[in-house]
Amino acid sequence: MVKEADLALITQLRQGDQSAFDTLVRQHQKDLFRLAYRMTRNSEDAKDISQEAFLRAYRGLGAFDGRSSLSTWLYRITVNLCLSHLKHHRPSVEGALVENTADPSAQPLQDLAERERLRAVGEAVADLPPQQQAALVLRVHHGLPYREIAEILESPEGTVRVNYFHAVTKLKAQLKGLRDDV
Amino acid sequence: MECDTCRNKLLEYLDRDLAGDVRTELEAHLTECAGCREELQSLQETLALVARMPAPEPSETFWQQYLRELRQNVATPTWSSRIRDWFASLTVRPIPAMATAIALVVAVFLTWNIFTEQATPPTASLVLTEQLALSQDLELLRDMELLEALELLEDWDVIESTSDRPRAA
Repeated sequence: MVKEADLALITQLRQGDQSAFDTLVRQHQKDLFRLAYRMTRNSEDAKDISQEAFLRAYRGLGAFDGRSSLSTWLYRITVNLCLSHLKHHRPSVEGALVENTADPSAQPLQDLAERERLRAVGEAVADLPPQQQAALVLRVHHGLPYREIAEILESPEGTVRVNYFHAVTKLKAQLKGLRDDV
Repeated sequence: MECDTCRNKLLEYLDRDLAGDVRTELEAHLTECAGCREELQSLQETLALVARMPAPEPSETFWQQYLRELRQNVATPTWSSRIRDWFASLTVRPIPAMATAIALVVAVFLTWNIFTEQATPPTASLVLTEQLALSQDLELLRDMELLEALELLEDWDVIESTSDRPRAA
């Protein structure tokens, strides 16, 4: 259900208030960027996809009926863009986890073994079917409840739970060697 | 609780998503079963590894540029949005659009009919009439013994060409 503050923001946006658009972006930019990054494993793609999500939301404000929260709606647009992107592009895991992440002040990973471990985790996650990957990222990294993930993915909650269960079970088997090294 | 039942519920247990009595039953099983405890630990370690996957922490400069680009895009509509808007503007007047479409279809149909009528080849009955008239002319020529004379001349040509004698000038 949409919050009071979100409703007020949407009203301002519909009236063409530029500052309301800035507020919308600032409130959600990090979440959408990280979600897109974890799905695509590429900073440039994450930037493009999250920006496109804001533009689509802004231009599609008429379609927002308030049945879900503003954040759920934005997540849904972003996930759909990511799923569409993944149909045509294989995530570049190798470059993504070690790349310069567009932030010169970002801390580089010091431990080579840790980098290697995380690269393998990234590859294993990238090998998951996109729906399982989305359920995993939204649950583990964004800490969302299954009900909200179901709204974002437009799937029944039971399907989301099954996808999450399969994702974790597959990763557990694939990452057995890495867990032993920790 | 059986081991299979316990293992199927371990993720929900980690999510603190189990009803009180099921949770108590599962915890009781875990205290007795080393295999299920090991499975629980594997799941915890796997989730911890996944959670450690890094994501960039862009700087404030990055976000300022990000917002600037977005503002520009909002201010200048893309070609695709212009085209979408144009089509959207068409759909608000469905009756004139439908009337134009029907008039266009009728015009194409009438034009097509006119052209196909002009280009129609002679019918079979016309061809038959022409052939009949030609055969009547041939009969007339035969009556006048002209045809026989022509055939005789042709025969003479054949004899001439096969002969080894030099042809008369």
